[in-house]
Amino acid sequence: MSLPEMFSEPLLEIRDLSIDFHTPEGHHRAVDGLNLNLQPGEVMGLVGESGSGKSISAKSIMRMLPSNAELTPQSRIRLHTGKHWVNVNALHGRDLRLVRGGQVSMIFQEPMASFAPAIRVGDQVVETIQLHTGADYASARRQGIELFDRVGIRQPEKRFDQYVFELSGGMRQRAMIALALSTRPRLLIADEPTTALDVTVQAQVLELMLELREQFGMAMLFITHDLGVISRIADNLTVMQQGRVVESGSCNKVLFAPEHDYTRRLLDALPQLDNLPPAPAKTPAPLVSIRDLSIRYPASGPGQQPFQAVSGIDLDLPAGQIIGLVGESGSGKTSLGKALLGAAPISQGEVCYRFDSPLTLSAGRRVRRKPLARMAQLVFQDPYSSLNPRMTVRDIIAEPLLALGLCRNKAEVDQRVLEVARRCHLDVTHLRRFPHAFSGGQRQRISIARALVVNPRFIVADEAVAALDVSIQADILALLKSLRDEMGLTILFISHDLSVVANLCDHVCVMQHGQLVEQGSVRDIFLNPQQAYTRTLIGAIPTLQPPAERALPVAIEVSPRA
Amino acid sequence: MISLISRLHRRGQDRSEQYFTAGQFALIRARFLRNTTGVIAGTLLSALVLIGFFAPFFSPNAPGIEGANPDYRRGAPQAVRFCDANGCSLRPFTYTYVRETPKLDLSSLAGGDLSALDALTASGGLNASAQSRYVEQTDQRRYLQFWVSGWEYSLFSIDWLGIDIRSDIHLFGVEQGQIHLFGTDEDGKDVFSRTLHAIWVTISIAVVALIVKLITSLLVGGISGYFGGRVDAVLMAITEAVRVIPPIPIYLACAVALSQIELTPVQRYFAIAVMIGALDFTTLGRRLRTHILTERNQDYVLAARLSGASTGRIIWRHLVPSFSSYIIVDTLINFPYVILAETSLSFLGLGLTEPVNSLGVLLQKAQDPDIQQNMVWQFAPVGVFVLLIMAFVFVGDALRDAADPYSERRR
Repeated sequence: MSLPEMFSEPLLEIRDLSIDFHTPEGHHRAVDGLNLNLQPGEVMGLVGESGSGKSISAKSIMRMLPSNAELTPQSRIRLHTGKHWVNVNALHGRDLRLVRGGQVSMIFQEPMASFAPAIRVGDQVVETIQLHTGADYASARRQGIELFDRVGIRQPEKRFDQYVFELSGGMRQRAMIALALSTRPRLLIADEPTTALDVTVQAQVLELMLELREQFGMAMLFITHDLGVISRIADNLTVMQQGRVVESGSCNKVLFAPEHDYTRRLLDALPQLDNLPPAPAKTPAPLVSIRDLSIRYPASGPGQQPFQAVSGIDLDLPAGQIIGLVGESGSGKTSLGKALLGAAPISQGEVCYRFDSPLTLSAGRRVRRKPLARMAQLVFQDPYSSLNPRMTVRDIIAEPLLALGLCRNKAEVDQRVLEVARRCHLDVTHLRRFPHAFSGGQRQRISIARALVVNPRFIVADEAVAALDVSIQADILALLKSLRDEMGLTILFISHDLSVVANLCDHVCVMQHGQLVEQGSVRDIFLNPQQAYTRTLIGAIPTLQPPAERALPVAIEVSPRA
Repeated sequence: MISLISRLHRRGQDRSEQYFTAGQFALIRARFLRNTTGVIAGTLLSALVLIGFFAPFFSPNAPGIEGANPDYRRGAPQAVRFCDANGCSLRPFTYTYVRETPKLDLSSLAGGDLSALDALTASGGLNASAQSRYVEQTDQRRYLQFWVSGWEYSLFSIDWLGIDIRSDIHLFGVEQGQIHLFGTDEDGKDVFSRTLHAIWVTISIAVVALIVKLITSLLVGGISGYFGGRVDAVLMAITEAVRVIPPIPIYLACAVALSQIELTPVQRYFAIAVMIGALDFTTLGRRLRTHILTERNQDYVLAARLSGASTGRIIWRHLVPSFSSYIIVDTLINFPYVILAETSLSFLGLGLTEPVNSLGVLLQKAQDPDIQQNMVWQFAPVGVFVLLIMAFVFVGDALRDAADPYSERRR
């Protein structure tokens, strides 16, 4: 078979794919008429927000739909094995191995959850190789270690015999990739493979996937919500919204000449490092002063060591500004935020609030909860677990008022709740609803409204937009900005996402291993970082890359509607 | 036409708005009503509870010895008919029963012949069931009357409020004599009436036992879970200790202790209920502890703490509602077990005894060989008992499925 002939046959062909979900509230169409062609060796990016049906479409290729999902009869998925076409929907029993590991492999978002915790990582790889190639244990093991080496795991022999909890996040994802590659698939499905990782690790993993693509020449279906990530790796893009394809075409065309409104909105949410907000003219007096603060969690049981989360931080938070606190997971930024609100044990140093009546938190002193709650509030990361499912939205927002006894009667409470709900752009007719009736973005608004209802001066927003989709993120960020401008609120914005911080904050502080590495205005930090760690962080931000700067030339130029 | 469509549309919106504003219990109810088995069992259960509560109204005869029928001891169930050889009637009727005097030939005893006495005793003509044979007089109908007045009872009374509604109206009876749907026992007490009264006694014991159990479990589980640490360790050690002691010996010891004290049957039965409840806290207590342990680390509890809510407010406003549905379900599912405990205690003769009417007492009677051979109808309470337990189990099951309206959506 000559080369052009090989490419004339697509690897995967999806026609009219529609998926229905049976829910207690009735049928719900998750995917509606998806058409997709994938050539051998092509990298297709599947972009969309959560709930747009991208993951479920990918799972249907491997026949891994949940039991309450159903394909419509006219849906067709065909896979070319290199010799002949296979109708994926008609596979049964052992034949399913063809799409589950044989020709198609998958990398999941959360590597910790996708490895069996009680089996050594290597044994899981060996089992896969043995099942699919019938190799004996010794040679399967040799192949596995070789793969570990190739995906950039140092000391592969040692790592091969460890359990998944012994590996770091990046290492786990590398092991996951090795597992997916162990059967030499022709199609690799990567479902948000870098979303759960820190920025620096994310960059490494992306680099690795680019290399592997070159070495193995397999096709890839890369699912993500992050256009910055996809611009580095994909040849072609398909943008999905609410189960429908809104735009598809070559990566360059979609990213640099978007036609659909939705694509443009996604693009607008990307960080623009060349368009950073100017530093505020003068730095106001600090509202919160942190002096030599250390946080140490006591040992959780006998034989355990106490855990030092933060050691010796000095920091001033200027009044009326948004201060970004960035760092990788485990750098102690959440502990610092909680300690400011008296929810983490301070072992040394103190936090001084310069309110009308000053308030000091320090080691060994009881937190004066009520005056503190009156002035400083927290917005949580997860808008699902932080709202009590058994209370109406009105009750949730009113809770601080009632707990602090700030209002004389019910009418006053209602009045205040309505005010703050309008402020946060919540539909006031929905106040009697329960949290389960709201989407993630609306829930986060409720969470913000709850924090604002007592008219605080200071808010800690702990990863407040991390769980949200890009376009909803933009709304919440705009809301936070308007709160700063109109109410003079001081906000400590904790995030691992540097692009969000770049767009939002006035000041940035960088933390690593419980210590403050660098601080300064957004422009200083992003355009002129002093510390090596900061430079690594900044360099790893997945920004949109123009075609000329792409790491690899586009291997095969194929129009999606061949 | 357009207005119709818009109205339909609006109704759809209303419904979704209802769904969104629905509280936890409204959601549970909606899901429970979708479960057919649960609804049937629920209807049956409420019917049984209602009948039990208003037992005097539904029973034609007084359950005690005062309502016993001396003319119909050890009598078989009386059939209610609409038709017989003499024609049909719209009003149902039973017959008059006349005791058949056994014809004993006593003349042979006159000679002082001991072998004749032997023959007489061996023939079975002297035993109790041979002495009470009844013949129905098919020409003497007794028509069923509804809403009849009979013995006086208190329909509803709360002693400490001085409320006592008395009545003598019964749902049904017969013109003259008494009606015995399930037959009578050896004293002539009506088995049907006794069974109806027994339902309420048994259920109220279960309620008392479950309330005691709930309070102990809430205390132990709540304190253990919320404070954790050493308190938790000590309380859970005690719980485990109680758990490993088999219940029957404890019941036996308690029953012996109770028999030493002079108690009226009513006091005795409350003592038993409290005992059953107090010993049964281990499972629910442990579960509540685990539940609170996980729930107190949820973000929304931290949110409440940071809002300035006090510990009491966090527990009552934020934590308790999150497991109230669980407690309700657990309590309902445990109903049959408590009833079984009471029944088995009474069955062993340790709990309630005659003349109190409880399902356990009636079941205990059924182990008498005399009843097994000659008065099978006294097994009727067993059927009612099975029905009651099944109803509880199915309702509890359906409630458990309906109880967490949030879990399914998340999946």
